[in-house]
Amino acid sequence: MRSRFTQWSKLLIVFGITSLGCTGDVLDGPRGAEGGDDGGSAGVLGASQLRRLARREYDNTLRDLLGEHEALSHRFPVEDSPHGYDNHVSARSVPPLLAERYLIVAEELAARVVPRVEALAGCDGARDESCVERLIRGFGQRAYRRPLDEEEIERLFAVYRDGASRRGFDGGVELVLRTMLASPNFLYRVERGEPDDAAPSGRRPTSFEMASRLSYLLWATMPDEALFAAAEADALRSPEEIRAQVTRMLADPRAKEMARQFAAQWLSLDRITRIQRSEEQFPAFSPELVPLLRREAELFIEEAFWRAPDGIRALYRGRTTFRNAALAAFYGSPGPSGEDFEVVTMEENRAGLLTLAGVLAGFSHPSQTSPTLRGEFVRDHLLCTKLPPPPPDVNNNLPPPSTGTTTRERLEVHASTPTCNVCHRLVDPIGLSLENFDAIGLYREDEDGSPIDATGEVVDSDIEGPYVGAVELAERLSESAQALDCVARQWFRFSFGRREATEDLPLIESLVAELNGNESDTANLLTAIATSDEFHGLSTRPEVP
Amino acid sequence: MRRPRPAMSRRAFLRAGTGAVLALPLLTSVRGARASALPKRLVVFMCSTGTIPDRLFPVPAGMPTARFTAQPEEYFTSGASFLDTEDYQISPILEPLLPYKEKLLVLEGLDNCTGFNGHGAYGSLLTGAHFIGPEESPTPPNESFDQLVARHVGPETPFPSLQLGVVVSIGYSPDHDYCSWFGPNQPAPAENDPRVIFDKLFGELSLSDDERERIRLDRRSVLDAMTAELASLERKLPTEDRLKVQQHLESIRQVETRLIGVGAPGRYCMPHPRPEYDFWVDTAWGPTWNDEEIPNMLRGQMDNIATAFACDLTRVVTLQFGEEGFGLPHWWVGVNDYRHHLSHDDDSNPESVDKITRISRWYAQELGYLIDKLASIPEDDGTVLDNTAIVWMHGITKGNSHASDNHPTLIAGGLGGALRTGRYVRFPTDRDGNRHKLNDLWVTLAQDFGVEIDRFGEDRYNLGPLTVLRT
Repeated sequence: MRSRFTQWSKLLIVFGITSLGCTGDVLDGPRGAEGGDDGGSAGVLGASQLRRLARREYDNTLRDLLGEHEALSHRFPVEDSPHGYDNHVSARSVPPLLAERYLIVAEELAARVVPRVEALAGCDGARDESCVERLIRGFGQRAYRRPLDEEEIERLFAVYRDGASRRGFDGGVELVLRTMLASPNFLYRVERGEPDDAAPSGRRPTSFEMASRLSYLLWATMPDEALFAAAEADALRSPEEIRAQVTRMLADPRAKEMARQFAAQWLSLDRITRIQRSEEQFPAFSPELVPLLRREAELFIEEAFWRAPDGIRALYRGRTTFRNAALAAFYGSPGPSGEDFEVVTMEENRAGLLTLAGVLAGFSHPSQTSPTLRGEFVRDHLLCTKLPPPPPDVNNNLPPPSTGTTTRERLEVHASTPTCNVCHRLVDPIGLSLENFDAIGLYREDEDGSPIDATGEVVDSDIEGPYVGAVELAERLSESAQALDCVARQWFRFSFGRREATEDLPLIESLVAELNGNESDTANLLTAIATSDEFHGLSTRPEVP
Repeated sequence: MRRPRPAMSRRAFLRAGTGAVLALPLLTSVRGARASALPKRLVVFMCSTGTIPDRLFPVPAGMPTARFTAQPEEYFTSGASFLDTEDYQISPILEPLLPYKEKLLVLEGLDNCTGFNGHGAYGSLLTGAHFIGPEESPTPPNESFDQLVARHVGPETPFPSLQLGVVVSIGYSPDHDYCSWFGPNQPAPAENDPRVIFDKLFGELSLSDDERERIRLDRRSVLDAMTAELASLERKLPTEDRLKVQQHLESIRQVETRLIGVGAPGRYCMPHPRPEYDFWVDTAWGPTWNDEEIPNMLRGQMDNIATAFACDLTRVVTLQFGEEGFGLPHWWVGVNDYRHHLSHDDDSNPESVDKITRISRWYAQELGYLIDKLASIPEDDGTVLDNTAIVWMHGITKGNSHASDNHPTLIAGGLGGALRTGRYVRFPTDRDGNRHKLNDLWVTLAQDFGVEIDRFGEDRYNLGPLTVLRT
């Protein structure tokens, strides 16, 4: 029986590993212009002036434009996420499959909408060219999120007349609707801007483009009537005007939904949804718990974002969570008695996001905990430090759990092998401090008979120094300036659709300054984004004639 | 999440099987007036997340078959000699393909050009090159081999190529998600829903000529307006964004042919019954595919391929079963483990080795279904299978070591007589220690399709075509 160590050393020798270090620079360095897509242009919302709607934005926009409630975007391929979120400014090209899908979906939608087109266009009952006029100018303005120019209007009229020649009014408007819903002006957020002598680049977004920036920032959808009206009046420029809109928009449920999507992507909540456990090994666990664990995480995060008295710090150390009867029984604590989720205070030995059973289980292996995965979650998601993958020629399987050894002992090889330790020292000690929580997130004092040592360290950070256990880790994280900085960076990436560049650091700093430790943290941060120069700027790149 | 399921019900098998059997005898190959020479076709059936090579590679006749049952080797020794034999003992994984042995070429000794690259090696399989570009959005520097062939033979058919999938889920990283690439930064995503492909290929067969004409004119009108809008946009945007618009325009042009139509399909072309099971199920987080129908989805896609070939609607298809590193529990072969985690179990765990073997064996069995379908469509003196090459691989060689060397590669079909099948061929290390990369296989096959190239992908990974595979 070959021992694990012999296997690894054999591989190391065979491939002559060179020292692959983790860089000494712990903070996630801003990505410069190397990628071509990101950064390079200061004061830019996104380096691209053409942003394809993400699937979730597409669904929301259709819902608000047509009143359609059936989500259709699952028919489209999933987005790549170069910056960690689904809304990168330079999302890839539209391949034939997607182009066709847009067209087919537009056909379906148009056919469904035709019967109620008069209501949609605000016609007075006559199904004639005056109604078509309203459809193209009025509805078209909502669909393209800006007034149409004469060339566009004439083109759409031509489409109407062609369709009407075969199938009358219905046929004509159906083709007009199809064209609009598959139009690049609908599918992309197009920003052409307008001249502005006062701006460093000589250009600024148009007022309608500002309306879309706000609505997609806070609601992930098209502007509403109030925003369109403000755009018409060019009343989306001054900080006062913007603040008024932001306050109004944050009170709308769509803002919470946007934040929910942000959190789900930032904190990889999908890992909770994919939890799978063997019934024999974990009799306390059942698949029915999975959506409940996810819901607890969502509600916990929402509390920290919008209501906790200590603001975003509650994410790391908050004890207010949400459970229903089934979850309470799983946790083994007193709790609510029904199916509905209610406010619950966590047990003494838990505090913060990292002690939610869903998160602990989501960042474990199917049959054992994974201090490395849990530590990486903290390092990468909460402290924004990117770690390189393991060297490609290393067998990185954990030995199976066996009686008499703890996870800490089995992970010892990371610490004792220099090429492993150079990176693993950044993650393992964090995860090991969470070892009191097993692979389904339940508390334990020992592991197969051996007592658990929950000492931990977050080395190379502003919260260095040993500590013991999850609750102390929660306190440390809530005191970390790096963690707050990371919150700001993540919101930046999600809001601007790209990674931060060197030029963005002053804005990031100002966002951190908004996280004052009260229930308005998130609202203040989003307001700061919406009133920033960057948010109101447009690319310096010249147009090609 | 799912509870463990019993083995696929007999009723479900019948549903999948009967439909196919009824449709098949009526199909003969239709090539239409467009084609000149005998058509050749390519299918790449890409599975993922590794296999157990020792259970897949055959053993020459007369040699001991210990590798079929012993603990698998962790790594592969180089320096094995060249082998070319028709006389071999079928392995546990290939056993369902025994009836087709004389149509198969089992290849050993071909490496993915990347060498060890974890699951990220997947994207390099058909592109023969390392990925380049920013870490956040890597891309191969060239198109994939199937798209190279599609550019060459594609113009003769309504669809230059098709990318079919089963439970392919993307969004992790391009080098794990896509094996087919139109070009740099242009991945070719797979369509998971067989009904969508069905409708795309055959949707209008039941319409009257008038209806079909009306649809054509309607679509023409919309497409013209869209193209005008895109062109207008292109003029007004900076350079980088123009590229995006141009790509969108190009995609429209490609689908235009299909949407507007190149004429009615041959009247002998009759599609199989349209799959009517529930593909989507609703969950709290939106619709997701219906686990229970996965085996039917694969057969549905294979039915689509067979009929598409018979009706000469395309000649190049990639069929992706999951993305590299996927988690799918293969419940219908009694494996409820998360696939990726299973792949990391040690070779010393006989249960895990057996589970992975069962999964690959099921892939082989399903490959047999496709082979069967193509073999039962007559074409000239032979069958569609005789004029096709189906290439079957797993995304990486072995899951737990993330190996990308010594890919078990199987070709089924004679490619119009270009390939001499019925053999197990093992490529050696040559005198200078070089091993053949898959690039050499792609060059060989591309040449057999009439593409005039002598290298593919990155230059340094080309040793020369594998002429030994030919007749």
